[in-house]
Amino acid sequence: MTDDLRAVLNKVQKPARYVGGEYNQIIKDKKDIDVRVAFCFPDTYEIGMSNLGMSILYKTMNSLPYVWCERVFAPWGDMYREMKERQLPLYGLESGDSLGDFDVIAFSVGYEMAYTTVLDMLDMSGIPYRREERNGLKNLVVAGGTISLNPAPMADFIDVFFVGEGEELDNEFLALYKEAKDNGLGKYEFLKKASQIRGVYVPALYDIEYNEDMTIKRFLPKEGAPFPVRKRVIEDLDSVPFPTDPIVPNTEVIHDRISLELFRGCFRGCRFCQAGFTYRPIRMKDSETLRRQGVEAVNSTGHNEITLLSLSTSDYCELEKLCDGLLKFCEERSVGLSLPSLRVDNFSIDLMEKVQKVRKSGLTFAVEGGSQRLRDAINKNVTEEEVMNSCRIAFEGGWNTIKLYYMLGLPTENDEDIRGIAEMSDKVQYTWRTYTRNRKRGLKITVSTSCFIPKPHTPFQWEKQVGMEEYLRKVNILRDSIKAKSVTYNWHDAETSVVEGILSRGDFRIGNVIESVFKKGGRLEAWFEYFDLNRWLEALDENGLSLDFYLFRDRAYEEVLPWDIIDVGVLKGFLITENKKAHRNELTGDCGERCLGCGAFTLTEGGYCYGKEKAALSKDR
Amino acid sequence: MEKKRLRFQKTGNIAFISHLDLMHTFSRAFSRAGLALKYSEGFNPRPVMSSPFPLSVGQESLCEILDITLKNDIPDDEIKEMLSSKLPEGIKITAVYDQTLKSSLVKWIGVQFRLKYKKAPDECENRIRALFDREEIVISKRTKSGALSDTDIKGNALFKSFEISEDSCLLNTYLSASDPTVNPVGVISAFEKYDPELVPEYYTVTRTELYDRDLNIFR
Ligand code: SF4
Repeated sequence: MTDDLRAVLNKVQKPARYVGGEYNQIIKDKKDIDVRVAFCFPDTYEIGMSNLGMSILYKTMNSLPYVWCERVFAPWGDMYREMKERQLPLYGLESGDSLGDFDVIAFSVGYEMAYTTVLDMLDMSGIPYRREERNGLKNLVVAGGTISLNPAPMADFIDVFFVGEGEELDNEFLALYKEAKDNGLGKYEFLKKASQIRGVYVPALYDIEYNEDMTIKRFLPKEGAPFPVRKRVIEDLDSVPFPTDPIVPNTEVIHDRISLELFRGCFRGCRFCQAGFTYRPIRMKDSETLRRQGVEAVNSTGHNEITLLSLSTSDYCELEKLCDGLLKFCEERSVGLSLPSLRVDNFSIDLMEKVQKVRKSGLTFAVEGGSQRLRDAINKNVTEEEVMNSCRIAFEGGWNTIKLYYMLGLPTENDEDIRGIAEMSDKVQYTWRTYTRNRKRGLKITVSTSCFIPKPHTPFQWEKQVGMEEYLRKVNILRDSIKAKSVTYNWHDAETSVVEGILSRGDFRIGNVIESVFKKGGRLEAWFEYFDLNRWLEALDENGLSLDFYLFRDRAYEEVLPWDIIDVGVLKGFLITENKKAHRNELTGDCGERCLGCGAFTLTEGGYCYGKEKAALSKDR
Repeated sequence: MEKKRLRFQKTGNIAFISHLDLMHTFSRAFSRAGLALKYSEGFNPRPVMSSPFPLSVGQESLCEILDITLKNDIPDDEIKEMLSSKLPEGIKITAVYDQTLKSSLVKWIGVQFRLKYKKAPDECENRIRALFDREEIVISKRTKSGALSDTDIKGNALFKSFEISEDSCLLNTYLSASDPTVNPVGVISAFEKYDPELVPEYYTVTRTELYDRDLNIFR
């Protein structure tokens, strides 16, 4: 480390996040390495180091002997200013080498609000952020994660998008990169070849024709590039390496714990949920694999908490078996076990009691809609009776803190639905009064609402988003109708939702907007300290674009959508049917009993989806 | 119960982690090593573990102490071996032995300053010596409440030696570990007050050794 950098580190807050050197970090000898990868997370160290995907792929890429993959995070404002002032470039935590020294610069981008930070991290390193300005094979910029579900807004900046799960894809790509580097291939030649790997989208290989109203007329693939680009998935989750020796941060991060991923995909099909549709097909991990990995990970990290991750934990096929297996170990070693996203409707008191032995946390119910009609319209398969039942069990079990999550601005929502939220809270309070074992301790209900943002690849991808004023009107209705004393109401502000909305469903013209915002100083915008809506509104204006086009219009089913280039495996026809049913307040249910034919099973070679398999089994019986 | 004293170094980049983070890091390292620490009684049990002279963020040390109580009786060299491979880069265990002396017997800490100048001031060594030889060395310190208050560190900051090495000057001192505690930054403040030319462009601080009242090495 240079004295210059040391001097800076002495001045900034929490310098530990800028020095690497953690236990289990991977150090290699540069002379054995052909491909150096800078694995960038466009947010702070604390956030990035808590990200399971990052930890998995760090390990995956480093499993190739000729690759050395290092981590890079975005510095907080104080560090950023100091580095700029002294013209210190951004560097890899493992080697301390500047980003410019790396062959591949790989971004893991899980949320839209991180887009400007991607530009910023490149810029801090003296690497041009526009892809046309990067001519060589070196400093190739690739990105994966949620960003690839609609790559259009970032397509001016990223050379290659990885669509879907990276465990196999990343290494195939790196192998090809090595070959290209060995053979002295140019960037364009390499990109042509790379586009043939399944799951790779190379924006340079597509022309776009527009209609007069500036909607897209069609995509014109060149050089044999595929259309659409099909999502990559891992067929057998037990067979891919899982990092049981993740890096142990030397300083506090958001989640200081072991994360075990139970399964990928979701049975539920809530119509608003992007993850629910884009993580399909459903694939389970074996409970024995998970138990073993949990034990190994605790042993190799010294962490004292394990958390079970998935979109809805209670749907895991062997939850009891897994919990039994882990609880024994956890008790012996005083390791906590946490089970987030347990669902209201099949909430198991047994499980709750067992977990309680180790650690008791508050209860969170994602109800999403305030009336049965609305919940049917969004296919949130939960009835009020079920919620009250779960609450009763919880209150009898001694819980007295409940969090209820809702969305405002959902398609078909009316003011009655909103008042329904208040009514439901009243009923929760009543349930508590009836069933609690200890009235003196009091009850705390927290109601939270966020603004619904229609997302690509969901049945609501064609819907309007509500504006800020309308959202606030809805907030006020709810605020006025909440009477129960034990209720605290929190609402997320809608300013970020506007921007998230533009970026989620943005087209190829949004790249210029992102660039303008970055030039106006936009970075780390997922942090309210650094977010500024006005920059975005100005930038839209400067580029002659309007919120109306991106947020406030209904799209026709026939419209070619910017993200039609990406095929996540779910058929458009299926989404259209789901959309129509939403407008008829019709529930589809979930795929626990029968395969609904979403199409996602075709993504695996064997046409496998756990939901489909399970449905077939129950029919046989 | 085995009360053990670990001696360790904290050098390189890990100097930038805070005292609290270091304690977390150790407790995880013990857990990785399979060394069970005794936990405190009470509502929120914590491992019994203390490092009596917290280092400031950014400062290095060759002579830190970590006092622990182990649940099981394990030979000293085995503890050292078990733990050594489980620590992050920059933390190195140098010795493990029984706690016989109280750490409150430590009075002096050997502190080395690496002073980096664009160009070293003329007569640098003599001027630094002169500074330590003053009748009083009064520096302003910020109190916990945030107000500035003057303290005289004379008698609690001693000159040991000085040499010029490659691109910087090495100043060795003894600074009082307690009653009062003299922070290395205080020495630089004294430069600033009495002979501002001595203030280096950049400096690093390394603790080299712990001593008792009579400047005998503390174990
Ligand atoms: S393939 Fe069938 S079972 Fe699987 S997620 Fe789609 S609808 Fe559900």
